[in-house]
Amino acid sequence: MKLTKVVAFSYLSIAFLIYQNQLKATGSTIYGWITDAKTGQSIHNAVVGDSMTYQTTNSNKFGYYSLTLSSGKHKIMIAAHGYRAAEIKAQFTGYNLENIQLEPLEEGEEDPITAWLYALGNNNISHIAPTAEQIRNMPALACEPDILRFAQFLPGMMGGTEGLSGLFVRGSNADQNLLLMDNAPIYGLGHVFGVLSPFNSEQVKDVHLYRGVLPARFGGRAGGVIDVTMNEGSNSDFKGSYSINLLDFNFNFSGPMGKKTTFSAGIRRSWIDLLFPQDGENTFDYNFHDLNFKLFHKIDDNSSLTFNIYNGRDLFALKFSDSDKDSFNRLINRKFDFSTRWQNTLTSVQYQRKFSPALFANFMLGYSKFSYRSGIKFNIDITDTTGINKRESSVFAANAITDFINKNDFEYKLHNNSKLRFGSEFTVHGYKPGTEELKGTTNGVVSIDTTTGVINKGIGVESGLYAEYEYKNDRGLLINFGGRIWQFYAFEKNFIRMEPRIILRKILQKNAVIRAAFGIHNQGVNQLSSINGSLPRDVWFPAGEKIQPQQTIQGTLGLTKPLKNNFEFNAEVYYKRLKGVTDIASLDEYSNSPKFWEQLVYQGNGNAYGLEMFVIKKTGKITMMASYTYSFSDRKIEGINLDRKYFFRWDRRHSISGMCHFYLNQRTQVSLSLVIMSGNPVTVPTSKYVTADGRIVLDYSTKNNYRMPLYNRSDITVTRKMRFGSGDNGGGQYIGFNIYNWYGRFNPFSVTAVEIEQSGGKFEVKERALLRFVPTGFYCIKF
Amino acid sequence: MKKNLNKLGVALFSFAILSSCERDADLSKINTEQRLVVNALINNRESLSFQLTKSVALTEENNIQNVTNAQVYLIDEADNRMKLNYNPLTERYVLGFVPLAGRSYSLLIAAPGFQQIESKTILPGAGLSNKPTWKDSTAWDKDGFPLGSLFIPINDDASRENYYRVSINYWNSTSAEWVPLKISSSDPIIVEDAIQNKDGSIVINDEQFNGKFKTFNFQTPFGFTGQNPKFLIKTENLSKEYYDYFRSLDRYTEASGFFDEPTAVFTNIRNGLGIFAGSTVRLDTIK
Repeated sequence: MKLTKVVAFSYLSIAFLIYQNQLKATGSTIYGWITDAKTGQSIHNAVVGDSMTYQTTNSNKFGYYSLTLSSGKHKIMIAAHGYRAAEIKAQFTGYNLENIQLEPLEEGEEDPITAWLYALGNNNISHIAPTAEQIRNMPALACEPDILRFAQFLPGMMGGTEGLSGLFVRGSNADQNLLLMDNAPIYGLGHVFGVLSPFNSEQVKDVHLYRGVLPARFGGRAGGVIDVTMNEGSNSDFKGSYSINLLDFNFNFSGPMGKKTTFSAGIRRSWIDLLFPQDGENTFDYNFHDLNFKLFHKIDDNSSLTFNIYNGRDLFALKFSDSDKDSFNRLINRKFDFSTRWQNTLTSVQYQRKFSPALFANFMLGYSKFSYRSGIKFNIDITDTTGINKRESSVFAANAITDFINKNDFEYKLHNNSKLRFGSEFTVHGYKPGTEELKGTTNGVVSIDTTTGVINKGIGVESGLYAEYEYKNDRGLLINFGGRIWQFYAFEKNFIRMEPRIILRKILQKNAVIRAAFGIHNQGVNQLSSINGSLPRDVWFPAGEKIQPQQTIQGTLGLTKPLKNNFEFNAEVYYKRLKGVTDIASLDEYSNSPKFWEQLVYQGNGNAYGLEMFVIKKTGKITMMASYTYSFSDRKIEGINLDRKYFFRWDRRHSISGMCHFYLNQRTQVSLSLVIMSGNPVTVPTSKYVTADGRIVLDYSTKNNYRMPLYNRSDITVTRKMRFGSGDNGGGQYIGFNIYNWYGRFNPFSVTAVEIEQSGGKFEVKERALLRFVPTGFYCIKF
Repeated sequence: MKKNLNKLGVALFSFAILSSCERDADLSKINTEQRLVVNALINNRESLSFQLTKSVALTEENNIQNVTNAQVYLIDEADNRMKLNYNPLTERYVLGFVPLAGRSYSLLIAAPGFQQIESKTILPGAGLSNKPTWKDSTAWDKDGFPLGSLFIPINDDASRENYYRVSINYWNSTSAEWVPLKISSSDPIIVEDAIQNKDGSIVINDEQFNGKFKTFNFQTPFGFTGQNPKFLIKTENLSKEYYDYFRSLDRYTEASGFFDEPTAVFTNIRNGLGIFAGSTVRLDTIK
């Protein structure tokens, strides 16, 4: 009731503010949609700026922009990465509709105005928006580009275990990241136990990565945001691609469906299992797939509708059988059928409407589910003199999280210099943190049929109400002041917290921009996972009586400067306080007893701070990015490390990473990457001793006490265009290869103590490395 | 073609795996200070006796190194200091004193070359339980042979968190000795929550039957049917640190997968390792 009143009061206040400002509105407003001239797809985060003043705005996720200026003659410049800058010179009074189409840059082409304007006009902080092309061109393990592994090359975003797509943003745990696919959250870790993320890079339209203070419209997580918008398809012609690499084949097709509708569809599937027969009693199977489908429908000039659906699934299955005779001369036949599957299913419908040139809204309904099921069926037939006795038993463990989401986002131009974003988010979480089904029959008669863990199933509600007031003046100052009221309810426990967020930007002379931000973020859902890497069995559970919501408090100061030759330089310093951050002392086979996670999870505090420097060049014959990060992160959690502070598992003091893509000639492209990082800490035993029950155990009481050696790796991908396609859509046949860790550097991913055989109990500690020099290839047709 | 593709796949996979390797870690980078290790599980039925050892370097051969020259004191609630002496025959520190149920005790140990260590525990008040019973031929095993059932009742005290350890021994008339019996049960509390110890005993907490009268059904294997077996049942009411210790030992054993963090075995010994924990014991013999 109390929250309802707060919500109602907030909405009324905003409505009053809008009404007041409508009365005061003066000057002229230009507004419209920014789209790709070739495909008609909307362009997110394009910068629209007045060349005479420092007034700029960014197009939203649906390509809509609105810029208010004084009445009179203006030269408006429009820029977006991957596109040629455009300009409009005109006399503006009142409301002016200006739909803008931007021409994509040709391969190797660059546009100095775009780089310059984008560096100055981007209002976000701690934000990077790589182009989809940059991600596809990355040197990738198994020739499969991946958004999350691309992000690992960015400052402040550390990868975890070698080869996996884990992401640790500025000292946060992996479960603090919010992964969004077309505005709906996605929970599952992806494919092949985390080697690939759920995002098929061929289906990605644009990506926005936030690693610091988040604008108030984002909530529910205390770490970074990976905001991915999927491809909508071209409104002018059909396009497609087919590719095959070591892991999978990938077929994508998109195009128009009538005058107002476009679509994009894709399937990515592993193929190695198709080569092995799956019939018979002894089989092994592993496969995964991604299915993407998106529709975009333009209803009229003021409104449009998007529909997105995604399913990704992994299946691991093993069947075998044997038979023998026991000492009673009975014939015993046994059959084992083991299977593990996990999948993400996600769908969202979004309706965008421009109510007036000053008011734009997006309404979204979404559904997202992650489910996991693993177990074994065991059949035994015993044949003796009395006949055949049949016994069947099975045990299956399962977990799931299901979200129903509603988001309503509004943008309202209040005045010449100010804008208001506000909205609400409402999510119903359905938790199934872990159940176990045990069934048994003897000669068809049920002997056991029980399911444990049902008691932990539950429903939770998470909601947020946010507002961002954005003010700009003619001297390049921007203030984005706002906040979020965050509410989380689960297991009869309710939390309401305020989340102030403020972002300041000032354009300095000599085209430099300084930015500062402060924000608080809360998180109610947590994942019970090892810090080494997530597994599909790792359950999501809510905060409650014993587990408090996680919270981060962060401050950031940054500098951006466009440099010569289309380079952009960014530097940021940050400090982050983590409260209620989780860790686990171990992750054994947990039970399904009531709220079992409360026995496994420890909570405490942590600190993270650092300096990040980043140079990027997004267009031209040579594109590149390079970064240096100095960072520190620690934890202090009662019950772990003898209650003393310890380094975070992915704390790395120095990190240098770089990626570069260039054309050797008209047909051949090369992508190179390099990563050099300080080693991360791991836990190694310091000694051994005897326990009360006579076991010899190793002393692991000091956590993360051993620093791995320097990590150093370089990857290379070479792509050759075999045959040119017709038209200008980049069609043709491509062949290429990738070598991951091409100079075979030994980079340990684990350190373990091993007992030396026949040594009288001596142990040795071994560093183990994986993925030294991994060559793979691919073939691709684009049409 | 298909065979060639198979070969190619296997070759590439093998290449990636074979290219992985291992090497020795540089142990000079970690602090390997030796610490005293206390293994003192005390109860209200036996006079005090425990082993005191020290932790040893991973590369040493001898895993168990007794510390024989320590000054060891037990301190009761009235602050009475009782000195324990080292017995070279049993290689344990001993005291002719039986701790009392419901009382707390402290341990103070000083040994040359080590930091002084301290610890404290309580022997929980005696639990209220009825006598266990055994029934013949109550179920069938997976091969169709008859099983028996041991019913062990526990009347849980609602006023506090309780932890129990149950051990079952059977009388082996051939060797004329009590032999530990590995406990199995289909009770969800046992299946889901029990810690299985190396000696066959189980440790449970009362979270799912707090303040209730609960009878556990443990299956005895085929072989006792029609044999008039004799069982010795030991039901212990444990202190919290006793439970935490065994829970961490259980996790230590389980945490062997790559994604599992190494588990530190619980200790309540300040500046040292090991355990000082108490229990209150009930013994029942049934025929």
